[in-house]
Amino acid sequence: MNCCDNIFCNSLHYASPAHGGWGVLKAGQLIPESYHLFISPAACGRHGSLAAQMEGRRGSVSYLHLKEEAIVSGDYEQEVLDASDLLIEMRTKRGLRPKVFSLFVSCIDDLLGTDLDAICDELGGKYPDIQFISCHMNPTTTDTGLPPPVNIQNKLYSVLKKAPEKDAGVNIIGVLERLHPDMEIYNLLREMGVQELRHISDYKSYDAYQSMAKSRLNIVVAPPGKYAAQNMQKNLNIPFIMALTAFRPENISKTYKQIAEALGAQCPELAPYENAAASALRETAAELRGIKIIVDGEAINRPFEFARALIEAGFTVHSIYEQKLIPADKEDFNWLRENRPEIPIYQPQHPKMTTAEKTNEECVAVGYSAGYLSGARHVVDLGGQNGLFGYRGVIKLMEMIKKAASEEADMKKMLQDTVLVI
Amino acid sequence: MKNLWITLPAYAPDYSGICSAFFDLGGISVVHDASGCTGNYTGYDEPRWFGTKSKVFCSGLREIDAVMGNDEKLLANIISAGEDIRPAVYSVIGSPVPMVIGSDMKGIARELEARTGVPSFGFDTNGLHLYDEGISEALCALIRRFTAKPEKRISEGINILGTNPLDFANNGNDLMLAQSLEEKGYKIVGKMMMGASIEQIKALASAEINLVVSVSGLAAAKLMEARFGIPYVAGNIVGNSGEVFGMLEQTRADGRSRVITDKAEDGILIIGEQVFANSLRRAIKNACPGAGVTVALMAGCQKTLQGAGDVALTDEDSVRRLLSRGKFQTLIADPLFGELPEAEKLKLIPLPHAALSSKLYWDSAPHFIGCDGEKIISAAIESAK
Repeated sequence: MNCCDNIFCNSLHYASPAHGGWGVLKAGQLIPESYHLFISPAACGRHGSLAAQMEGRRGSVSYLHLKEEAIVSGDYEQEVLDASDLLIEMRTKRGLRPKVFSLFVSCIDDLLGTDLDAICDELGGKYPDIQFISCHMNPTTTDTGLPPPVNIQNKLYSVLKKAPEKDAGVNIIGVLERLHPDMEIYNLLREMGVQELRHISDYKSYDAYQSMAKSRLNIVVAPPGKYAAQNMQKNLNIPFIMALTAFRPENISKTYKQIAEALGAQCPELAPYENAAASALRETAAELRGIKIIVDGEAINRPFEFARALIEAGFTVHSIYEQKLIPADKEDFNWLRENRPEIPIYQPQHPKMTTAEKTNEECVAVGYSAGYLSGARHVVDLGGQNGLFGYRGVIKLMEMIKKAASEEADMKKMLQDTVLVI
Repeated sequence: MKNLWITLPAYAPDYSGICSAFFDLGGISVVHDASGCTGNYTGYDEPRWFGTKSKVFCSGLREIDAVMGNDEKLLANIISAGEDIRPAVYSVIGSPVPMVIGSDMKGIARELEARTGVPSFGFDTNGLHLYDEGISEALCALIRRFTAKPEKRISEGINILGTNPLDFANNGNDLMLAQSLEEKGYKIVGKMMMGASIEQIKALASAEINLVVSVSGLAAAKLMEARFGIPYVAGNIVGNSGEVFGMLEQTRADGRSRVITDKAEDGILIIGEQVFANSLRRAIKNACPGAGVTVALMAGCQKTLQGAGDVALTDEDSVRRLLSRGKFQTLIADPLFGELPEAEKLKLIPLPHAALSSKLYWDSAPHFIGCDGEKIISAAIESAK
């Protein structure tokens, strides 16, 4: 049963307790030595503020609650300037003068048209040692070319200053958590002559963060990073390559060959890695015989590519949860529809999910939403920022699936232990 | 600085209050927003969300719909969802963007009802007001729509007005309250809104008396007093205090509404929900008449319930200034208030309030009745010595 005839349809949205991710504030807080002022109606900042409190990030953000009269008149620029002054002074007194100060606004600002750039310019004139940027938490733009997850990634790297020369470093862009240290990409890139694989989360200081501007290549491993990479190419002269996380071993090999080509290096021997990943897939499929897999697009960027990898290795895929097909997953979606049309595809936010029956079959759900919505007895504890990449990403995920299959999931506890923001 | 919140989160907003009030009614609630407002409610303002069958949805409002004022898409999607779910009622709930573009939520609800025949409610909430106003508005709208004049009153029939998980948590406080009343011989007609149903709302006016247990229930009590002549008592049972029962008996006897409130005095500061805070103050003063207690409200300050000298706070700055006055030695409040530098020197007696701290502390919210409530009273008295 699909949610509707054309699979990906427009409807009201259901937000299950398992739905959500980092939110834009947490992403923005990755900028080292940054401080954030969130300017919005009180309600807009509540969930981000609580999530920040839960994760110990509340100290670097304040909230300016707009009142009705300010919204009606649109006249809150002075309030923003005053709040910025106060916060900068407060942080400076504590020895925490920010290097980057962001002004976050919510959906209504797109309609009110506040000139944030002018405010940033004014503040920049007053505090020349601080970079001021505007950031948007505006999910009303979700179906535009610049939705919040894309926009915020662009902002993260917009504070990098063009380096006079490049070094032998390479950046990972698109994911907000560093790739697991045991992924083979670190070794393979070293063999390709890369001295350092850089990720924003590596840096505690703004000055050290600037080393990302020296990198000779951006490797974009998830689609939301593409726009940032395009701008970094334009502004920082860093070329980029799309190297999206994949789970079909042949796709992974293709990705590494493309990376090598982009670096002008010879691609190291991949066969041992590819064989190991293929074996892990096949062996896990054999071990789990009789247990089906439920795929979750909130945990895996390209769920149809992952589902295809599973099917080709001998797994039985029970169902796939994905709200909207992304272009980078279309080819595998088409393959799946042609070769396994019986596999149901559910939109996790469709209202029908609230009345759908839970599965009685023995299943492992890979991701929170799929786990909650399907009622699967086994759930892989995996959010969207999971650090998996390459062959060892496959192997690690197979290990996680086997572990999940061996125990009954406590879904409520799993969700209590993770902090999700919509 | 006014309106600047450096340490505390915002309180739960008005639209969360509406969703909370409709939670048990078997309807469809739709927050007209892009995603984050609904996410506030489902992720942070509704302790009952995990495993619920309640239907609260987001309209998925997009920029182009906002610019074009495309209400038709909203209506079509609600009707489509309703075909599968067959709701008892619809509620269509505003958020900041509909406020800015001037969406007529009541008009949309009227159109929805005209097309579906299902009772529909529209609320012009906007995220600038707080949850208690949302609950209050929802409850009054439901009473205006459904509550009929009864053929006869139920002897010792009582309505509980104002239970909601943002003030009462989801730990059985509402059930313990109902049980206490039943043990005293009361017959509960309506549990508003935890455990509510449309049938209960229809029958509310058959009760002899209303018990207002949070500020969210006060407007409904006044509405029913005006419409049906039902008097009310505003108070909560805290610890083993039986004061509310005595007030209920007096009010049943003389038909006069009563509230628990006292004048503010220096010493202990309670920041919380107004009816509970007033009741806690009374319980402390009953146990220790010399104790000075002030009640301060960050949300839902009602004049009817406000003791002389009690403080209505508007933002974090006003809390900081109040705490800095040096008039209090003890603070009974949500643990998050303890993170304010101005609270450092005060003894903090934690009183988790989900409307502020959400899931950070809602699992450790106290039972108002019995041991937990008594412990808070004892700790307060101890600090006053």
